[in-house]
Amino acid sequence: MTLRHLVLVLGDQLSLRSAAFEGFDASCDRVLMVEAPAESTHVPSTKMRSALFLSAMRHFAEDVRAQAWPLDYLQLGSHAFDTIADALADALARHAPQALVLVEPGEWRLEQAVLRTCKAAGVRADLRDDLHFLCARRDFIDEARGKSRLVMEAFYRRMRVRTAC
Amino acid sequence: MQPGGEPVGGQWNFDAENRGTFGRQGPGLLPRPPSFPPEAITQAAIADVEQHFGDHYGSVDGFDWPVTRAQALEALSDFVAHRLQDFGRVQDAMWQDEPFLYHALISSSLNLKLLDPREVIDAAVARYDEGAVPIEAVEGFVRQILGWREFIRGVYWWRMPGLLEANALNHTAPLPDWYWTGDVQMNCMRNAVGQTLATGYAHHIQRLMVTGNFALTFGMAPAQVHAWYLSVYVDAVEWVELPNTLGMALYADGACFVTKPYAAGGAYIHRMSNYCEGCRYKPTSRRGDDACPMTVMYWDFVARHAPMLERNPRTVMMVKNLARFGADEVASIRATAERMRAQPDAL
Repeated sequence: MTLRHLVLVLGDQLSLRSAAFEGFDASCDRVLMVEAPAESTHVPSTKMRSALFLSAMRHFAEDVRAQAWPLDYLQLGSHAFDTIADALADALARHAPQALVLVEPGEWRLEQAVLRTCKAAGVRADLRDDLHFLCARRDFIDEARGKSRLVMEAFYRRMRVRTAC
Repeated sequence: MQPGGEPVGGQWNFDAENRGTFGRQGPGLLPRPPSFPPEAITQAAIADVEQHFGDHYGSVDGFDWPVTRAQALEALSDFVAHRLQDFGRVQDAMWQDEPFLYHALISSSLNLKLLDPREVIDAAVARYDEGAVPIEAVEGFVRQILGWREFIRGVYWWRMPGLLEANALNHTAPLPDWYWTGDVQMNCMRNAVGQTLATGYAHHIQRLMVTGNFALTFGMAPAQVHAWYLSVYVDAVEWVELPNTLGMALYADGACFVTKPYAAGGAYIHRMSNYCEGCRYKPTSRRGDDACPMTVMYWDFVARHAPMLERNPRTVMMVKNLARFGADEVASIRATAERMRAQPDAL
């Protein structure tokens, strides 16, 4: 049976309300989470920081399983991949999904790596807005276009008005 | 907001009421934040970290962070119930061996997405509506979540990927080893770095005006400072860490969203904390054995970058104040700075 969506959830995207899960169908979609050593070594992450990310990811994996959603969870030490992109390339080859679903990552580096990996595998990347944030990335960049300098206070006042806060 | 477009409280910004200190008597009895000791899953994660990253810096012995949405919600309700009312007033203050004070401790939960910013803002505003907290406390807090946090994320995507390479001041000094160990005699730095390595946390003024300010005035290479901030904080993801480090603390991106470098000497640390009382250096001293590295590096920074600082109305006074010392004193400061920069491990 063919997979429709492989949904990659990164270590800082631990919400069941994430846009990644919009339209999720357990009969044809699958979640992928990866504990990649490179995420703790590309900068030398302290033990506390790595432990928090790993523990929160593992707790979130329990939430995903409780929904009875299919999940590939690659735990540190149980796989040979160094980077998230390495593990993703393998999963794309194994599952051959119609699309890879991903919410905007918190790092430019990871977004580039995931998009590159999808391109190399010939799988469409469905990159979704991160609805966690109140200001969409595209809206901010549109407003900043042509400017060399931005002021937080002006942005803050617009956000107070826009959100009626 | 009020109907008609006016902000509640009649002004947008209560920063002027939010610069308080604890005074000589200190913060007194502080409300204790809830505790989240490691259960089975966290214990296993800690064991895996020790096995795979055993040679990494920092300690995981005192692990005490929310790891589930339920815990994160508990941390949020405890903050708005017990600390929000005093948060704004003393949000910039620091105190020896008090790593948390009145801070919310929800940044890691927000950045892992265990919490939603809307529910965080709603919880704080609800306390104001109940009459339980003053306007300056809730405004100062909402400004962090709805203002700074969203703004910084926008700036990250606006400036990437160039922001990673930014080094407008051409700073090249290596990061001293003690940023990774806390083994330094400067008491402000030992406190800020020490609590960071022990807990994964320091508040915004410790990050901006202690570790960040010294990295700026000392002239450390932005890429190395960035790697440090991204590595050591439990709430650090690049979208939030990089603009704060390079743009705000290090003034490395050509001032695209700050109006001046956040440079200060020991006098600022002395005013905002009691760190100087337990220190072998004197914040007022610019020469000799007790010369405060924070102070010396501040004036050396002003001297090195005087042409740039003179052009900016917000910093021109820094240069004028330095000139008042006279040429001999300036030469002495620069020589002391040179000596300190040559031997950072002796600080």
